[in-house]
Amino acid sequence: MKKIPLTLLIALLALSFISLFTLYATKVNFSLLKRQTLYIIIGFFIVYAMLLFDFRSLKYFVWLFYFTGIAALIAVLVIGRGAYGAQRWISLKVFSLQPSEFEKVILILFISYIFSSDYSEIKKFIFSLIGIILPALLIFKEPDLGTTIIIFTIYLFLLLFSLDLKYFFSIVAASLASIPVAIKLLKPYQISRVLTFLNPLRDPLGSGYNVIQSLIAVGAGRVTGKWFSSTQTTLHFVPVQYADFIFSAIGEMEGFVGSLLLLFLYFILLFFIIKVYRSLKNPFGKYIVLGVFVMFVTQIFINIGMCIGIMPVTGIPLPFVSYGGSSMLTNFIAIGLVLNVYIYREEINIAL
Amino acid sequence: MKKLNEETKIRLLYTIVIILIGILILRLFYLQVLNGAYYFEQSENNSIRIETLQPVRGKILDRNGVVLAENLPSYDLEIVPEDVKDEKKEFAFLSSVIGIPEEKIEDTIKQAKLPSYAHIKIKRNLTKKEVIRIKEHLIDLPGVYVSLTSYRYYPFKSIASEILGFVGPVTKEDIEKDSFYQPSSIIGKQGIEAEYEKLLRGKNGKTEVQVDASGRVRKVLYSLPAEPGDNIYLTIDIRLQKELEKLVGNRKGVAILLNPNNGEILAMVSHPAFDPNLFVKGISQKELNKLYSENAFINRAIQGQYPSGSTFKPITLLAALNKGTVTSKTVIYCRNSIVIGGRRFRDWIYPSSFGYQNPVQALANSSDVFFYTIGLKTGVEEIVKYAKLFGLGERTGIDLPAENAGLIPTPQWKKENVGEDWYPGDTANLSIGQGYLLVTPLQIAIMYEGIAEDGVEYKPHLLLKAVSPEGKVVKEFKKQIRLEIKLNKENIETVKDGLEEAVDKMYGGIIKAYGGSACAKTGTAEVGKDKVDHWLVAFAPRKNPKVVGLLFFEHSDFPSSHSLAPLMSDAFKKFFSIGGE
Repeated sequence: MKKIPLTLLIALLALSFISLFTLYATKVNFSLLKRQTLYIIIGFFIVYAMLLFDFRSLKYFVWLFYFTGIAALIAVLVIGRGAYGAQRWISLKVFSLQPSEFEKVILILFISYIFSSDYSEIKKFIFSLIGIILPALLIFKEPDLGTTIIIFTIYLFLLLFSLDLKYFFSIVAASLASIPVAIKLLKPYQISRVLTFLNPLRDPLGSGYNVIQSLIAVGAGRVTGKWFSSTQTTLHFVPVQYADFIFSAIGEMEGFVGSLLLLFLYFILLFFIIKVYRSLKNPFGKYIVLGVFVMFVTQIFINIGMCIGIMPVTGIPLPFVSYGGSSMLTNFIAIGLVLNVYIYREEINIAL
Repeated sequence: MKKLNEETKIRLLYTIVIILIGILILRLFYLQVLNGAYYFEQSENNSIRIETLQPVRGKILDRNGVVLAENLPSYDLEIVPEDVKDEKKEFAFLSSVIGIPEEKIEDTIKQAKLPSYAHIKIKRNLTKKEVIRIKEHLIDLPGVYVSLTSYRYYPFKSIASEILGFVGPVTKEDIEKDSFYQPSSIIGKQGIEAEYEKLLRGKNGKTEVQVDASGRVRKVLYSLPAEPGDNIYLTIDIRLQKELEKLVGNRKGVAILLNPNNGEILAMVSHPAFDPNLFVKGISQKELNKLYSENAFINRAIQGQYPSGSTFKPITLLAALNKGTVTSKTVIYCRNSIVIGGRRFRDWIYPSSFGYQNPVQALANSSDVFFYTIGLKTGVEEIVKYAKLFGLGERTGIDLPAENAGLIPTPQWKKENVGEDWYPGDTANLSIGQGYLLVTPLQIAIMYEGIAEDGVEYKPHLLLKAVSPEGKVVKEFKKQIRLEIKLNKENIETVKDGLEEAVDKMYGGIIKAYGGSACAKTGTAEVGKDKVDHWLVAFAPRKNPKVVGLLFFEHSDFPSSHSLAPLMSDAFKKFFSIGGE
């Protein structure tokens, strides 16, 4: 059994602690705190379990994962449960499953598999594009704009890092050209969020309310935080502050110092992933690690950016911190993949 | 094209992390470090609400501590909409108990425009039966509450209502003028309630609470309790007030008893009056219209302005005696009428006549011809001077709002307001208290206090003392001399002689039935075709007077002003029987 690097372990434990402490301090329903604790414990078990096999064996399961993912996304649209104007969950007895979260990891595996295969470059491009369009559309339909954007970003980076640059640029060009069409496809609330992002005061009691209250919360934390005298988050002026807006609670309670600490933990996480990426020669492993890197980096930036008013409001959770089972487990699975690649890297590199 | 080389890719990844995290740090620095204070204040404003705690209003009591206005507990039915489980069932039950239709309950909730966690008043002042029935079923009525508040209650109903006044909800102007008031406050609208509002209302308390995003109170941060208002003791003796109330009956009129030694009003009735409790509970338009048509809101004792009739005659006599027009021994032959400026002025006893009269006899008989004669000889200036010396035409300064001043007509006044010259006839009319002269009943009472006290008038007042809830006297009325008139001792005794003799001419001196001497003067003022107002003003005893009494009836149905004497006798008997100080 190979060891998990200590700094990463500490960073993950610290993030988990911040998550639980914040949920506790914002006085959310106690059952949420218990559940989140459970998710974190399961998460660490998943990471442990994932170290027991060589990631290369996942290649045999890629198609199974892929089609299971598609089936789950279709199930969401058919029998799913709605919340906050979107239908993103499947109700299981004890747990509401959010397939779009897991779909991010499935697609990372899928694209990595295609790009590391023996197909010609043009075939890789076409297969991968076809492969992600269906799940991306299903997720967009829920609607979950945030996850769609993350999947798209992951795909762009993998394209940029694996194939000839012309494919990357053709996708960028095509995306720019299709913006007018995309605007038509956006739901009114999504358009309003974009407009509100540009000017939160446009609608201070409507869609701008979240942003303004979140800004006040973060700013009110000042340098050292308001700790247990926090009001914006404990008195629910910031809506759903335990999930997507959890950073506003951290900003208010722990101030600039606490926010810097959180960013430092993410810094450790991301630098570790880059380090793993650098040390690898196996393309399948490299693409997986890159995909996970992009997933985390976009989620961290978009989520915190949203809480501090520099990114539009989208339902993207903050990795390892926001409350939510699907997102927590997805984060642990993703870091598990990176760790697996890290642990088996020497064998693989020699094997090459 | 070609692919990125490995070096570039790694550098790109590091750059992405550093730039993105750098952007977040810069933005956080801007929000939390540079603008932290601003957002901190915003967050405080978001969550802290300051609420005013309303004090309990002070009581009003009579001079012996009998409660005239107090606060009674009121059980109010309240609904918190978000706590109601089964609207249909619960409202149907409530409706059957309090007799308000279900739709009306729903309407009240809708129109309150309050958040769904707020207590909305459905009905005030539930009866005991209603309270018991609702409380019995409270378990089946989630969201329904019976809360205890208070309401102003006047136990003597319409008795002394013109003095007490009443309270009512504040107006927008009240709130704008004085930050003390909240939209739910009550304020004194009339009478003592209005005059001593600042003493009665107490001091607001304050509570600072923390609220959550939906406005619910989470924590009390700071609380300063409200201080109850001061209790006000009046100079009124409710026993005398009730006695006068009885004497006036359901006629339109005024009755006053006051202490000539210090100006304390012992009782003051103005009828018709109103039951102030009606305003607290909500008065119907019909009842209100009836009160308006009766002028029930006018305190006739201080706001009604009437010709004084013969009660004015002592002023004319004093003016004449002082000027030397007559002496106490002068005898004038009085025919049954006199011609002035081509018009015939009759004596009230016409076609009979009084014949030879000295001032004492003339005052006792109230001979109009005598007073026409001396009035014309003395001249309007001197009469006006004495009227003013006695404080007519000027507010008495009683501690009640909206007192009227009356009117002493002068040649100049007539020129300006009527546009005519002053004729001798006007002087004649003024001499017997007719014409343009207007007085309030209280002014006449105070004028006779001046006679009784040999020229000293005390400011009439109703406040005896104000006592704080802890029992400390915060305000006490010290007697104040309203005015002092330098009078020749002999002249004032002549007037008193006349007034004392007058008593004997009324029902065989019935006013003295209390067991001592008395001075009195009647008056009959013509106020329209076949309409007269009757006056009787008296004080007793003549030496060291203890009480001044006044009776006045508007459009009187008494056969003559002398008929008021038995009423005055009863009032004095009552006063002396309870040991008038």
